[in-house]
Amino acid sequence: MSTIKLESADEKVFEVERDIACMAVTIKNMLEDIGETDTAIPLPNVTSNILEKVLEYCKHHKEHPTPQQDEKKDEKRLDDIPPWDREFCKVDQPTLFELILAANYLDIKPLLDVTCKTVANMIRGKTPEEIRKIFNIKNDFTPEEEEQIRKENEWCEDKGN
Amino acid sequence: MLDHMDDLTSIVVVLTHTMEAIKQLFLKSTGQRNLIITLVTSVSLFIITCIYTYRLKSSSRQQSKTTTTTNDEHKQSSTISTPSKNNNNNNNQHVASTNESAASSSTTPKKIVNEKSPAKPQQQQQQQVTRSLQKVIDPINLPHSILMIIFEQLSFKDYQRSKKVSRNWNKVLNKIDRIWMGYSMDKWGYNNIPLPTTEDEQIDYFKFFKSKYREEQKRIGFEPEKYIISIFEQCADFTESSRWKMEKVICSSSWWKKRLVEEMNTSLTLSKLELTERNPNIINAPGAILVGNIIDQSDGNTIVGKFRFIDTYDASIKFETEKWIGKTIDCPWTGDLVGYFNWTLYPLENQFYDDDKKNGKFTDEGSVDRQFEEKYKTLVVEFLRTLTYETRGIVSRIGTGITAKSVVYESCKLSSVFGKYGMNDGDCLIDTDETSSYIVTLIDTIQHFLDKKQVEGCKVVYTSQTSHNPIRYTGHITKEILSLQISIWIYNTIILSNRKLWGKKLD
Repeated sequence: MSTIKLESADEKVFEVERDIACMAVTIKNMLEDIGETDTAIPLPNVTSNILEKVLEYCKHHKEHPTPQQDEKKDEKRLDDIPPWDREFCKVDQPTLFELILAANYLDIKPLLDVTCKTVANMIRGKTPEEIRKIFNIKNDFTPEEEEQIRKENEWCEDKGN
Repeated sequence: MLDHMDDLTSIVVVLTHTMEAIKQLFLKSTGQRNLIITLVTSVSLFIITCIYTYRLKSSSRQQSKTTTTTNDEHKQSSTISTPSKNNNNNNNQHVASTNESAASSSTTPKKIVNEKSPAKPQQQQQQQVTRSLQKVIDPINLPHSILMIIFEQLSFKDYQRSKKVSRNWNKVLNKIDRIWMGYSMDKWGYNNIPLPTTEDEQIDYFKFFKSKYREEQKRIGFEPEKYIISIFEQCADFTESSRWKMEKVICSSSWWKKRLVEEMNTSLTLSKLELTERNPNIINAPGAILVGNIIDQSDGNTIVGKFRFIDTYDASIKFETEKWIGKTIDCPWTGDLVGYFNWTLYPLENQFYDDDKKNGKFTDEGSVDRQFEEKYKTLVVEFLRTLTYETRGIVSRIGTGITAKSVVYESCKLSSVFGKYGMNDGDCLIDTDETSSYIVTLIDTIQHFLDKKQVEGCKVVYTSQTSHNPIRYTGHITKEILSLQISIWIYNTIILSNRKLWGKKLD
């Protein structure tokens, strides 16, 4: 089984199976461009702790491939996160956001989907105050601004029909 | 290097001064003077060249020594470099080196780090690098392309609500207006949204969404009536002798509302449906909002209820939380769902009697049920029976989750299928037209059942010369066979006995 080296932003080098690394389209493309190499591929936008998590995800999904599901575009399903992935995403918020960025940079669509879904679940159906609490955000609107936004959004407010 | 240059300059200066002194000494003899000058110049130039060459070599050696040292020092003090290898636009903007002077695109090969026991300096280095990467704490600071993915998973209401979180959220979410195309497509489908005709055309999908949504809200912003029934395309009794057989199937895209009113009024004797709208163009228009009253014909055209037609799409939004919404009956004699009939019959509501009492219509202080029986029971029963039979739908009392199907697949004893009073005196039959596919299939099913039981010489027949059950047989069937059960599709004749649904027992 051939391996390649990946170098994180903090200059930590990981030796991983080529197949696992190639789950990241960015790495796959790099390897296609440079061919066989012993030099570690630099990943300047991913720190070692995040890269470790990303590789853990790739390794798991390489060993346990998710069966292809019918894509139903009309359905916005948020409850379809597989149990392992759900557990995987149970990390602190900065780590989750870093995972999203890493998945985006490395172009690992399933990881990007699952992490984005996790964030979406944090927002779904919540009031602005609840969202503020979840993400520790300060309400910096003036009462006048709040009133203006309320008016702007009036058209889509539930009127208890 | 600068030091070497200074040395050279001083030598040149000394030599220049020596030349001047010689000039002064041998000024008188021109021949000797020229000879000495030439000699001295040659010697000086030779010395200068030698010194310069020596200095140059020594400088080059020293330079290479200095470079090596610098590189080693650089290795120790370098932090993360951020080469712009990122292909994704607007992505990973958060990753930025805080110490630009220290940053370098080092290509020096590194050793594989033992992850379990990293050396201390490396640990410090890692911490330094981690600190230098600015962490995303607020998700709104994620790149727009990622925010699009997140908010595409959510509803437009979540999106609008999120604009109220903070100024920054508001600012960023107002910028991602591309998302409204997705929301429009999700809600109304690709075919129902405007698409740019030219490459340069910009469509304001937010504006489009808002306008269409408001329009929709106007349609569904009504107070619903108490009951609702689904209407299926293969409604019963939609065929009169003067009409074509094909009209038996009503189509959701055409004048199904008017047709149902006409057919109901043909069958009803005590009450009638009266549309508020009289303009036939409006009535027949697809998507028309049609409302009306249920009139008591026997009592000087008193209004005993009101109704409204609801399109399937509008109903799915209006009653999205109701379990009955969108449900169909898996019956070959119902067809597709075409819409809903939503109504209130005042006699079924206690309020109606309270009002009548106030108006002096009821002097009797008896129970509401008794008053109901006295005055409107027959009207209500006829109306509900006709409605459930005609629509073949699923009836539900709004907000309670109580439902009942007008058409059911039932196991019936053969003895109750045949004979003059069989099939509940013929009332169970979904259709009574001999040529209808329902009757043809029903007869086939029963015949097949008998054949399977090896009942010889017996034939299932349809008799049209009766107002009772038309399903009969010729030949002989034993009592044993008649006690067997057969599963067939029938009209739910006991639907009006559902006390939970109607609030009282109507049958």
